Amino acid sequence: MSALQDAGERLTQTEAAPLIYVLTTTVAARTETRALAIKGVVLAHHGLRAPRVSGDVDVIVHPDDLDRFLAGMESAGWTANATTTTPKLLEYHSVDLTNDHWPMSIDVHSYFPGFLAPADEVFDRIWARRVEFDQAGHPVPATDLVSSAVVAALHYLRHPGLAHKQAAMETLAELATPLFAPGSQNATDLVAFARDTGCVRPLTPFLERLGLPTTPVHPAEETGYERWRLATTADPRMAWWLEFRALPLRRRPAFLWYALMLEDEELRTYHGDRTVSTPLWRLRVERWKRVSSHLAGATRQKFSGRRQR
Amino acid sequence: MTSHLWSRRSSLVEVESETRVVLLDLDDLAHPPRILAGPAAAVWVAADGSRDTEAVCAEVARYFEISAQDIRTDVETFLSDLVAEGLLVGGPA
Repeated sequence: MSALQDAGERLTQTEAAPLIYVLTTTVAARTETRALAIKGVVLAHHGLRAPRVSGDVDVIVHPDDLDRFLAGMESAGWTANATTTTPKLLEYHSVDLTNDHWPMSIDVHSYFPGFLAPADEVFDRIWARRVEFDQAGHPVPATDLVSSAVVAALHYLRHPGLAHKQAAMETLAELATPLFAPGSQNATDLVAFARDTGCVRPLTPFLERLGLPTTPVHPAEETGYERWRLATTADPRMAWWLEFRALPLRRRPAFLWYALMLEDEELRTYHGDRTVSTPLWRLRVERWKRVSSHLAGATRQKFSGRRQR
Repeated sequence: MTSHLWSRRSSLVEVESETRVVLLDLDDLAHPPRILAGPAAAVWVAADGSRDTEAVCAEVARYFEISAQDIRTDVETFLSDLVAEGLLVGGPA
């Protein structure tokens, strides 16, 4: 008993999650930043998902507060993983924080894909509706029922082709149906929130499922929807081609070189094998093999499609 | 040591399960979470601000169905460890 802690004891995710929520809330208070718990246990709190432990904790921070919040988290021992600069069909939307002493990471969002209105405007709407829920005996600010439902639906609708996202969407719709019955205050609030944050068009499958109106009003829906549609229907690797095509000719060679090599840090983070011992050249070769294999498959599919026509 | 009522630092957040207690100190966020398991967790749970050393020993002994006398030295040592770590404070009985 004299040893304060057995070195063999490991923190579980069930134990860690509530403490991490309290930790991020404390950091937000001390750095005078606005941060809210989203997804995960927040959905379960609102009855929008069955209770279960998530693999990470998600928070959303006001875009203007992001740097200060991350500095606070760094002081608390958390490290931001390298952010990839590879082309994306949707803007990169979170910073992944890890800490060797904790069994789960924290995704810090300053923007959530699918909300087409400006990120600060969206955050202000979410913040205005915030609620508090109890974690380890402490109040933790979180998204309310309406914004939680929208965030979850947009999350699942981002990958409509994936079976597990379809299943999650189906479950969400089933659980949300009695909570957002047409004519109810929740339903009115949901539609107003979707309109104010410019996500009516991305959210249309969910709104239709609930029997709610799908008329967008925010001007950002006109300009931003095509990108969302492309991002949710095209192969994500299409982003490389789109970016290449948009570049002036003189910048294309440097882009091709980058596409081939990537930065060392992002190669290790996003194409690594969770070790630091594998040489970078080997990671590059493995990535080239995967890209070649994908290109060969895509080409075969294309020619096969032509023959069938 | 017997005259103190043992209580937990107010900056601590804890998650308790049947056999473990995990502590996060909000005054020292960079410190790894502390895990107390088995007898250590039992001492922690007993040191709830209402018990002195005698009573903590009695409570832990009752929980493990052993003699308080048999564990007294271990409990005292552990209470000292908790004080040294800044997790527990002893107030007047």
